[in-house]
Amino acid sequence: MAFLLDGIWEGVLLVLRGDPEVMAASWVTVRVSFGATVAAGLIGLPIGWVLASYRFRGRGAAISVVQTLLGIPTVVIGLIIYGLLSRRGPLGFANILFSPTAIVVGLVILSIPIVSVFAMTAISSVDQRVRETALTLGASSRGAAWAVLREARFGLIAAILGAFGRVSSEVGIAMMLGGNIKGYTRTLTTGIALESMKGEFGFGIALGVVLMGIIFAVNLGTRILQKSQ
Amino acid sequence: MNAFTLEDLQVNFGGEVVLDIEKLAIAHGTVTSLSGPNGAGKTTLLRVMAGLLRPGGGRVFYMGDPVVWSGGGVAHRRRVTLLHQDPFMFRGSVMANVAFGEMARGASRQSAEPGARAALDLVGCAHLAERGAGELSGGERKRVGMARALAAGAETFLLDEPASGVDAENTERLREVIAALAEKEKTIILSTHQPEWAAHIADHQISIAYGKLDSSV
Repeated sequence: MAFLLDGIWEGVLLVLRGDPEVMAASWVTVRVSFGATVAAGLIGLPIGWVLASYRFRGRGAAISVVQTLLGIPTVVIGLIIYGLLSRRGPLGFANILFSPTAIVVGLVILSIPIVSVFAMTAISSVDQRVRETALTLGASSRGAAWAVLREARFGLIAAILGAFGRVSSEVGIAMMLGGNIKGYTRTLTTGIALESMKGEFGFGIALGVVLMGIIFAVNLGTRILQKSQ
Repeated sequence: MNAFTLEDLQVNFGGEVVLDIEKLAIAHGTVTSLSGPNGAGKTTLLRVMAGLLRPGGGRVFYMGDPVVWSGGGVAHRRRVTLLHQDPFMFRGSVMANVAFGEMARGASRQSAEPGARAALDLVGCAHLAERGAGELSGGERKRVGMARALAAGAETFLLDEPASGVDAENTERLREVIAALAEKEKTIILSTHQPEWAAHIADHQISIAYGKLDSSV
């Protein structure tokens, strides 16, 4: 037990001192997590909107596929993207394997189903009268769609937050596609995995403290934003 | 001049005919009550006239022009508004709700507010302007819903059960608002379970049962 407490104390000190390695891993994590969340939001929110708002042939199958993808193991995504981006792969010419960009690609694939399913649920649960009320008050179809999105906004924010939490705490994809290169592709989670294996609990815990701090700050910021509205 | 003219109107839900009206004309600038039992087709008829529900067959004319559903039918919906039986209030303040119609037409919040305040004043809800819409009672929601429809600047009002679930005081207030609109030569069509209540304000009464017109007075 004592080694855990020592580790936490060491971690706090490393954070307070602004240890360069901790800061580098934090910066990489923030960059890839925000990048992947924004991209997943841009792709996943429209998918969720379409699945919730339109009745079309194959809709049930599409929902099943997206829901199934929620449970796909991250190492499987890592493996598939690795195969695509490796030198022998069809996208090998892009030469982005073992770079932050490769991590973002993998994390986007991981988080699109999360955003889509959460968004679909949020939009589906909006009262049916919202759209009709907006229309009968003279809104265009686009304006009525906007009214529905406004009513679903807290659920949509939850979708984005869920995706952010998932990508920022992910290990398998970051390890396989980033290669855990110190100062370049090492994220907080891959750093924690590495340091723990080396027996450097203090450093691992320092990275964990920062990771929790980032997730907490994002959630707190969102909550303040929601309250202000 | 007729506000609405309906010819051979048919609406089907799941293969079942729920509305079948051979001919109906409603004069412009009048108050018409639409009565009938639950499931008679009153709300369906109002939704068709509001441009929210495309009929399976027949023709609907508004002020002599055919109602066009293609392209979202926004032009028709800006002239004719439907007040639902239980008006939905968007998240936000009462003012934001009442200003919605003007803002949907491209007005800024600032320019929409005077009209919204005037509409709230007309229904006796000016004091509720800054209150959260979710905090309104049932009767207040009806009156604010009416104010929102007024502020949207429509020329024809379709009111679905405006007096249901409303206490005597609010019912009287609603009747005064409807009378004030009628004086401005707005066309008002209201559905009701209480034809005797509507008799005091309606120029015409229509009864509907099982999707068909029962009688027209």
